[in-house]
Amino acid sequence: MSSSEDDELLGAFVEESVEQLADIEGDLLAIEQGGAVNDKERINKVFRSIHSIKGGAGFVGLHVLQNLAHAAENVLSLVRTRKLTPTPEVINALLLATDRLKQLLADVSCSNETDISGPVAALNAIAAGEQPVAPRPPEEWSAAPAAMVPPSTGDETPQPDDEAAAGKPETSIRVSVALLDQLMNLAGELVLSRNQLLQTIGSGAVHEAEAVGQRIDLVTSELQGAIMLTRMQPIGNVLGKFPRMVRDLAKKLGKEVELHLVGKEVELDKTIIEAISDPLTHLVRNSVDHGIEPPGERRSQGKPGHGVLVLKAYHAAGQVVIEINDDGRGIDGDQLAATAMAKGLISADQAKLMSAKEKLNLILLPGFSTAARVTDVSGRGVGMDVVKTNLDQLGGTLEIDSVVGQGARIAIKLPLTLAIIPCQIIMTGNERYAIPQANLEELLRIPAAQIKERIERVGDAEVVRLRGTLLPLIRLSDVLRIERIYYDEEAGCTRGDRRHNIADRRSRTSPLFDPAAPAVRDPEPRPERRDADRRQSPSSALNIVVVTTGAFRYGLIVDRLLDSEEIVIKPLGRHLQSCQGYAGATIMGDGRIALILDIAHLALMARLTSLEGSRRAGELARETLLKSQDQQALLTFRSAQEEQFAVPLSLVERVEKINRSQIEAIGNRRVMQYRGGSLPLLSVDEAAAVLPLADQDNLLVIVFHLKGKDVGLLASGPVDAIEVSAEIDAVTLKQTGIMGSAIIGGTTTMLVDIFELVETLHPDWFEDGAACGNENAPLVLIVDDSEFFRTQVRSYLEQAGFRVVDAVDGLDAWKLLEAHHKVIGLVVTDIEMPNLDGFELTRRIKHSQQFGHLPVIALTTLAAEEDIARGKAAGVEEYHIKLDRERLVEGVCRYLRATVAA
Amino acid sequence: MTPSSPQDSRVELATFQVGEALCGMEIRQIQEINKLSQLTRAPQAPADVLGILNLRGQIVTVLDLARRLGLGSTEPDSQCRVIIVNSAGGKVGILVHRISDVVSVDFREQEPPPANMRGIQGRFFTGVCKREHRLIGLLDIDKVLSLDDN
Repeated sequence: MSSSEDDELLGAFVEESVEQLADIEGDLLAIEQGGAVNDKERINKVFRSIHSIKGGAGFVGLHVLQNLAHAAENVLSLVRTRKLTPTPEVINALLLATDRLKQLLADVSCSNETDISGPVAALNAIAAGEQPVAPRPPEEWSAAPAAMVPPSTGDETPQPDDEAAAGKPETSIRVSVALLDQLMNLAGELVLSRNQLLQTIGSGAVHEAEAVGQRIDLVTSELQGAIMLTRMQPIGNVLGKFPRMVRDLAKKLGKEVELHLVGKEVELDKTIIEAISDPLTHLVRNSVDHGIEPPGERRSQGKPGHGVLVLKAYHAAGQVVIEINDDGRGIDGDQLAATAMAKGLISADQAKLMSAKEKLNLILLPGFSTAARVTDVSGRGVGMDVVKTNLDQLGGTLEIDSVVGQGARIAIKLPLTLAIIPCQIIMTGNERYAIPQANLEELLRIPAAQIKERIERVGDAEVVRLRGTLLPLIRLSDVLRIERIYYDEEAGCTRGDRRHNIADRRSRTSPLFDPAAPAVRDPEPRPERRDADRRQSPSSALNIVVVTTGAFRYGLIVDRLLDSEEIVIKPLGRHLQSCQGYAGATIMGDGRIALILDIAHLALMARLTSLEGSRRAGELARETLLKSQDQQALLTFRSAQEEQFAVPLSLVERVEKINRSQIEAIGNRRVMQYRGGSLPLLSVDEAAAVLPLADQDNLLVIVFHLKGKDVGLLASGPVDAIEVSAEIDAVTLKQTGIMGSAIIGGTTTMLVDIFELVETLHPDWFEDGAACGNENAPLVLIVDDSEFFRTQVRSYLEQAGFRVVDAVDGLDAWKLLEAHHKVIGLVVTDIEMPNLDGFELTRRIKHSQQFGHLPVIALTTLAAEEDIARGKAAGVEEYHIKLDRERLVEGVCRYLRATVAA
Repeated sequence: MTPSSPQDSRVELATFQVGEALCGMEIRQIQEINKLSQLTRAPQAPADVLGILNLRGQIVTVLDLARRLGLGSTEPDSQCRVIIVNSAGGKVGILVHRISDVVSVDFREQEPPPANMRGIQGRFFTGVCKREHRLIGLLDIDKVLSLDDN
């Protein structure tokens, strides 16, 4: 027998044995649970597996393995013949033996020199009829998975076993014969198609070439699909190790834990399965260690003594979700906030502003879990930032929910496969690069004219003002040290860029520019345009990709933004491993290569540190602060070029660019064709006394949806979506169709009341529905601290026939309620208010004896999902966006009718 | 570099020009030789990495052999070729100035490399062969492709 055949045989033996051992573990645990009454078939199965390992080991000359398997087989044989009851002690010894077998198999070349006298003696003692002495010797513990290392040692590193496994990814994979046949079949088809193609090219028949092209297209896609399938593996491969781990850990900690695995058959890409193992282990350990209480404590709280841990995997919206649910003590957000404060990660003011969810997310902050966790019993954030980073790398997300005393739920969302990812393609220095969509937040283009006002210098860094926050900027060409160029859209080519500082273009001393940087050799010198007017040309606009990754959020300045594409990731060769800016490469449609950017490392390379740890928490809190001021998202536009208007962004369905020639005049109405129907068009000047619509060919149509119909408002550019907390003046410029005005960006801007506008021009649309309110109907209580919104909402409701009272904040509303609760039938409240906010007001109403029945409608400017969830938890019946008159009136109508009926 | 079996000491060498020097490597180490096309630059890469190219779906790093051997950088021209080598760490391309003949040499005629051969340090060679009044430096491809610089 030649040595290569020997190696092959050994390899096959190791692979098969490892697989068998994985099954044995689960079976042994099941046998332990069964106790004396036992599944004979299961014991037989374990016996057979161990037996075949023993036989195989003998055959390939691994006598140490053989001896250990033999000792285990002896014990199993006694269990099989019911001469020995499988007590936990017996199972422990057997599990330990399987662990040792695994270790031996992991390093077969040294296995014959390994000392196995300990486990063999233990097994032999059992076989001889002695029960083993209770606690196992300490050195044996170290042989078991490190999951059993007592938690008090504070180990945060991955377990040695796992590390070894992660370092050595599987080199072979099992594929069903049917799938293999399909692949073979498809490969055959591909060859046939190729022959056809060659023939067609030879004969020069263009028409046939098309058909062949289609065929190849089809076969290739099918082939790709089939090959992707070979990479899919059931998640059970990872989940399978948890029963043992949880059992051992629970034993060690003196807890009782019942583990349920749901959805073991859910399939995921092999690479993800391998990479998810560590983070999952960490989370499961945390749940058992810190989440689930000892039985005594549980019983004293009226819970059953054994905790329940559920690991659930399922598909949702093209992703795989893995949930870790426990019914333990839960995570205390307030305590997390206190810890974060003690560590200086957040300030007391920030902590006060945080929502419960934000507090829970503090656990993910880097630096949260590094110190003194021994004293912090419920500090469940042991290395959670590491878990988060791991997930970020996989393009996954983490969500934490918890109710103190009732348990915690951690949901991990993962993409199905890593092999193909959607990416934004950008261009810098004449080369294309790909940015994974998972890192992408938005694309930003700052016209040349706005650069000066929007780009600022803060200390050493350049930043852009983006909806009230400052975003640090990194120029990709600087980080990669390539020559700056810019794309001239008029000429359709790229030119050298001589400006080195975005904000102040005359200065050559920008901190981002390192004059010592070696210029990359450029094969052809580029023409340089020196015209003074170049700076005004549209080509000088800045293209910014706003990216996020774990701890960073920044803007990446690139030359051009191209398409978004699904790309296949390919690894880079070893000579490029030292370049940290790249996560890999991909091949584009034209056969050329684009490098995939590693967003996190780019930030490090640019020495972007402003968002690490504490600063990130600071930003988090700042965002909360901003949210607490009444922010209103508006779309600004013009009608005549001289006047600026705005509408609430939430009411806008779409903005379409049209040419004046598309407008059709029918009678005295204007319409245009839109999605197969006629869209009625109107302009602000038809109802309000403003300047007439600009006389130009390029127009915009802002599409609204009201009263079940689409209606288009004619406008001219530029349009911009902004978030402002501007003071709104409801008096000075108020007129039909205009609800008020505000100063936005230094320009007086009129707020268009689209409902009033449409009602004036199409009164017939509004004829129904107004009959809801009447003299005897209960009052509606409106609570809002902003006078503008209060008046606005009041007028909506009064026009719809309701009787209204209003209050300026939660406290005021509460007093009113106490005085007039008999006549008030509904509360419409703002969320962010001084003294008593909308959530708290709702909570008070819902908990009170007198008003518990009152429906509460919340109004918000930005309907964040989190806020909605928070509102629902407080008892809010419905959420409406401020100034969405139609839905609000409809909602009020519905609830009042229900109240009257009750 | 060892011949395929002790009995047969003759090996086929693919020879190529790098700067002034004629170098050779055993033809069995070469997967293919291509024209240089569609090279993608990789900013931030080590200086001797010219770029990456798409070899039928595989990403292959291309090294500038002249630069690697300390001869200064190559301005790619029409005679340049990329030799794709199957090395331990995957396929790597090396850019040479021009391809020369395939010659058959007897390994026993190999002589130890000089300290310097037309500007290239001797440490990159396993030996030299004389062939029709010309010296062929036998490249130590593992050393050329190794990651540590010196």
